[in-house]
Amino acid sequence: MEPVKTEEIEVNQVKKTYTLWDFVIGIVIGALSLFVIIDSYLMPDYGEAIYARPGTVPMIVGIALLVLSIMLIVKSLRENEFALLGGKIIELAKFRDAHRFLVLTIATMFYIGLLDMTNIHFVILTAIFLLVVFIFFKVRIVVSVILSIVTAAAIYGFFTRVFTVPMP
Amino acid sequence: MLWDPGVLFILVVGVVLGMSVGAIPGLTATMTMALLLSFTYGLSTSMAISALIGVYIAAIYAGGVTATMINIPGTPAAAATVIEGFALARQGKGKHSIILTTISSVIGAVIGSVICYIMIPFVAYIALKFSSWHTFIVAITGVLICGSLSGASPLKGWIAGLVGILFSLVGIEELFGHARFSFDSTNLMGGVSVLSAMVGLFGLAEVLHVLKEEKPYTIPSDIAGITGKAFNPFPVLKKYYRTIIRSSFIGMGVGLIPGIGESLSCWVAYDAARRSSKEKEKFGTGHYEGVIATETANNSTAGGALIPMLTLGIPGSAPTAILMGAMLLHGLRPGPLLIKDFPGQITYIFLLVILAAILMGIVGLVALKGFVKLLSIDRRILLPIVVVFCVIGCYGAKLLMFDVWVLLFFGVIGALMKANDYPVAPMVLGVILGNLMDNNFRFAFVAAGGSLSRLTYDPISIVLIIVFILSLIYTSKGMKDFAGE
Repeated sequence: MEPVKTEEIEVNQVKKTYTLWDFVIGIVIGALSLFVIIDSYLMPDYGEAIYARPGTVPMIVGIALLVLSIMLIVKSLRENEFALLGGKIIELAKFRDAHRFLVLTIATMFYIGLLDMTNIHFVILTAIFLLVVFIFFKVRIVVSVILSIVTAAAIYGFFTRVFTVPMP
Repeated sequence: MLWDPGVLFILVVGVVLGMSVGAIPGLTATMTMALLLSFTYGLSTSMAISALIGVYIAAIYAGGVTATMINIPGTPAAAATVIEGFALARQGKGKHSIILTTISSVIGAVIGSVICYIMIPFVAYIALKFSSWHTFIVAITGVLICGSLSGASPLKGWIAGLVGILFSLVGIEELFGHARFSFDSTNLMGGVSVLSAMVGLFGLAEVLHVLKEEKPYTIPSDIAGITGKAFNPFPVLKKYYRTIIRSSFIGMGVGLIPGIGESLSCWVAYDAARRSSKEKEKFGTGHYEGVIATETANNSTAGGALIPMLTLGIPGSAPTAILMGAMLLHGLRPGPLLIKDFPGQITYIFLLVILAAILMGIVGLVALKGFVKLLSIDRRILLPIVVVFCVIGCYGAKLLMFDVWVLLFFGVIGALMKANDYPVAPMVLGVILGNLMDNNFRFAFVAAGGSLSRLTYDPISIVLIIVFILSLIYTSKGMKDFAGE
């Protein structure tokens, strides 16, 4: 059965400012802030007063972030039932939007990775990247092929000839 | 000199180039000016400066067009325009927003330049009095305001802003050369690229966020308001004339502070407009006053940013730093002796800004239909191409693939933030201003020998601290919300 989209749920419900995902985010931010506080504390003081030390500002930011993350967690739990979190995660895994997001992210990652680690020409990789994304989004094949090649070549020509910017 | 056909032609070229660049997410005015710098070496001084000023002024404006049409600010200066501009586009008033963006930008640039020019001696005096401590307070107030304005929840905005500040602290710090949060990586020791963070959070994040939908929205050009009855902006501008004047002064004032620039002035002006508006409830729903406030402020910042550069030799923003580089290349020395050694140069530059703004307005209004048509292209085609521009833009700055990976990182983070209603603008502002805040905080205390009273005991400090406290109280609506009042 196709999972119901968030927007459809929200037609019949008041949109909450804080969701269960904010609980998860709060935990992550809280952990990050604890790490920052500890790492800042361990930074050398170079024999200087506290206001000049490298760790002072990061520690202040870390403490502020910890306080805010606790507020976020509390607020999220006030507005939502924690027991529903497991269900939300399973629902997300089925979400078509999540799949599309992952595919796009992975495609972009591959594009950047191949630009970085191989000697394949920029025009070829860009054309392939655009073609894959266009086809994934069901743009007509002929249009996709022509557009991806022309766009890649035009971008390369414009930047290398007019701006003399080296391409990756 | 100003009316030389060659100078005018180069100014038009600069304006068109600036508009093209400013409208493409991933490319910035700073980058374009930097690339153009080598071209200008062979031109006369007048032509070189006119080309760069044309790009600078037009790029700030053009960022507002993409902010309206595709919800991606072309430059950080247009981040606040997204709120009202995009909402207007979805209501079929995209053309209205772009027309108001165009005219407000012209008015802002002209007013900012005229006032700055008249007040140069006084303004230069204030700029000289501005210390590290003052810059620190302004920066932190800016992040606070941005965090509270840019989303439904100030709490989420502040978290985003603070995380942005944390990212900016990665790398070798200036006072002792200590590498913070670098995990022994030489790439991270160089810090997080501000450009990559900005392009990732504004550009790539929006692409990932929009394209994950089964049917990514596209605003067809007819819905955007390209057809239909003509829009007369003048009654609207007349209605909000106070907002225009206030935003011009705000933009000019923020521009005076070295290192801050247009990315903050738009938020301060938007906040001020919302607080003093009689139509507060309309903000966030597609309100003309919001567009006018942000676009007037970000363009009037140019006038303010030029003052410390021309009179003190301290660039007010990254683009003015490049402009200063061009002037040095051509034998002009910005600073206290500029008036003595090259009388008329300051007047010439401000006249160029005014002329560039007027040309920008004309070209912008003429090219309006083209803009709207271009940006009404099917998102499934337009947005993947935007990804390529983002990659080029981030790589082109320092020719490092690491910066492109940083772009991807921030793009994913930004998309996840958008999916959970976290505003990305405070994080961008935090990344831009975080390092500045850290350095100025520490320099200020070192210079004052650790004495807070020495830092706060001057009129500028007192005013800024009052503004900070008032901003905190005003934005504590988020805190009250948490307390359940």
